[in-house]
Amino acid sequence: MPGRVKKRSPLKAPERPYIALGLEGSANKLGAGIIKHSPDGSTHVLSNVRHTYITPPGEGFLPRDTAQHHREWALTVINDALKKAGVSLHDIDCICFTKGPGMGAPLVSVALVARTLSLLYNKPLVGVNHCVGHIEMGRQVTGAQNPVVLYVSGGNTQVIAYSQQCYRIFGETLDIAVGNCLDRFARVINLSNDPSPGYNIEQEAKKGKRLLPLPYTTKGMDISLSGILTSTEAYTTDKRFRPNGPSPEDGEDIITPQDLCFSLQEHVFAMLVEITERAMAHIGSKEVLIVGGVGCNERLQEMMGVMARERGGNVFATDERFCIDNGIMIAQAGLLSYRMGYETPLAKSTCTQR
Amino acid sequence: MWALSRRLLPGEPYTPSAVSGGGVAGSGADPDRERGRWRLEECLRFATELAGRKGRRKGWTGLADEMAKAGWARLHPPTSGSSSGAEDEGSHVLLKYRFHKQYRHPTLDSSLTKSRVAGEARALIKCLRSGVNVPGIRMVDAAEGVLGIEWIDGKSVRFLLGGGAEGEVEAEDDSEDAQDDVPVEEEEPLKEAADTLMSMIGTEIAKMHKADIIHGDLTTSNMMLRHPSSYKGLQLVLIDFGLAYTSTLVEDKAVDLYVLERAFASTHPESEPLFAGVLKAYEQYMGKEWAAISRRLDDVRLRGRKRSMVG
Repeated sequence: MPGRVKKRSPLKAPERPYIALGLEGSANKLGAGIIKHSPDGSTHVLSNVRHTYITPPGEGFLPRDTAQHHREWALTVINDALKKAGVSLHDIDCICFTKGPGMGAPLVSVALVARTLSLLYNKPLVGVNHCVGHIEMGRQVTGAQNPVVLYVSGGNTQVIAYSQQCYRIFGETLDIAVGNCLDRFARVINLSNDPSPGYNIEQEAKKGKRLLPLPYTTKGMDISLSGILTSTEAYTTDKRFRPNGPSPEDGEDIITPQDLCFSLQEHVFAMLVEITERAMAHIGSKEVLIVGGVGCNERLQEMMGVMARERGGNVFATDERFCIDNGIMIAQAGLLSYRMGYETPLAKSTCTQR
Repeated sequence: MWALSRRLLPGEPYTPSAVSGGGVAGSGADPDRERGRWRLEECLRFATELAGRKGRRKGWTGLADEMAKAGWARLHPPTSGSSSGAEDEGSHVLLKYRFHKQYRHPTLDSSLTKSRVAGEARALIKCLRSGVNVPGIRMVDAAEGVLGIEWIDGKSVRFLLGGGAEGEVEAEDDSEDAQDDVPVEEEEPLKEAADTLMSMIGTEIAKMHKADIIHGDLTTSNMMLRHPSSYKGLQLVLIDFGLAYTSTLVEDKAVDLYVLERAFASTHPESEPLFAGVLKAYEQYMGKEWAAISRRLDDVRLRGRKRSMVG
């Protein structure tokens, strides 16, 4: 809750520079990042390397294949990150890894790398919650003080706010995540997965003109997205649907894939902005922070900006380096908790899917 | 949404006998009706005035102050002392104006606004008929997104739970973040008052569900405790039926309760056991229907991605 009285941060300024390595692999992105906290309170991103497992159009990523990808690329990505940062593993204070939530197999394979490094170099391990990683990095990059956080990605859709020493979920999706919804629709209309299906949907949506009626399902501060996906998919079997764009003999009343992308985005994002607005009104906050992969979407940022301005607040968003899953956010959140005296003993360095 | 109020003509509140989705109900010949019509026009005039002012301005900043100067009392932040008090009862109309949300596609926005205003009016009327404590309807204009409802003089339950004191105290804190740092003193009398309040909430929700109305956005901010000195006495009033709909399904009622449970947990983390009091009163009023709802509520609690994601 945004209190009037500024509470002093319990975190003391570091007496020496701290460096942390963060390893992230909860979905199809493998990331390694190195962050440095200096005694003067500043934070430097020394390196932020990512490798994405890209599947052919029409396919999603399966846990087993994704884990395989992470195993193959782990050493390259970590070496790359160390080289770019110009530090050796001996200089590092702690090794942070994603504890969850995410896909089991990829999480476990990255945690294994973290454990091995920790034993080899005798460095403490710090397990990090993926969502908290996103939020902490978002706050660090944007300087937002106490925002309502909209966390939207392929696996998560949540409205989160900090209250009573905890990040609390105020609203979330009742079924599928918004990124999942967009990705699956991209698969239906055979959009490329490179660089990401969501990005390609965004580009297609810019060409869409026609707003088709779709369900609008907000339930209190929660939303439901599976029905809207089904309804959008149903349009692709409509008589008026032209998968390859309009042909010369077509009249006005046709549906193109671009229109569907446009309609889907407009509806889904309006729902997201609405639940965020409701959470803001509920807790009386004026700041919004958008994190997660879908947070890169400029249309979502624009809509959120308009809403925040109407309420006299601001919106904070980051670009793809920090929005999409990355190692640096794990390092940031991990280093913060390490400096507060938190470590994950080896026996407890397990992963959890939720 | 912006809420403003202005003192209107005294007398019994005007309630159109048949409110349809679009437009305003017709007038009758009797003087009471005529008075109501006068108020109706006043309301409409306000809506037009507001829309006009908005049209001439860039943003919303300062608009509320301007309206306050023109004689409208402000609701956000809570009204000043002058607009409450027994002699004013029944003479206020609260106008809920659903502003055009700029972030939404215009087509989507207007269809949503229309259906929500109409839906809200319909739900309110159904509640009124079934004896649920809700604000009475004064006027509806779905196309413009204006809904005039009875002014409830009192405090929101959220404020009461957070602020710590019962309704008698005219606390002047800003209700928005009052619950943050108010130390909880006088545990015992407070607890008793809170228990009564919880059972009132439970009963009111049960009444509403018996009428097959689903509120859709039950939070402690959406419940008001009518000021004890008001002409209707101490009453718990459910407000903001913007997301309400009609359903006979056990599922929807259970989800409705679950939404409230989550709201309790997220806004009043220390008072989570209070929700048990709500459910108890609810159970008593619902009688036979409770068993099915209770079972479904347990199912619903397991939902949500971060609670029961399997695999």
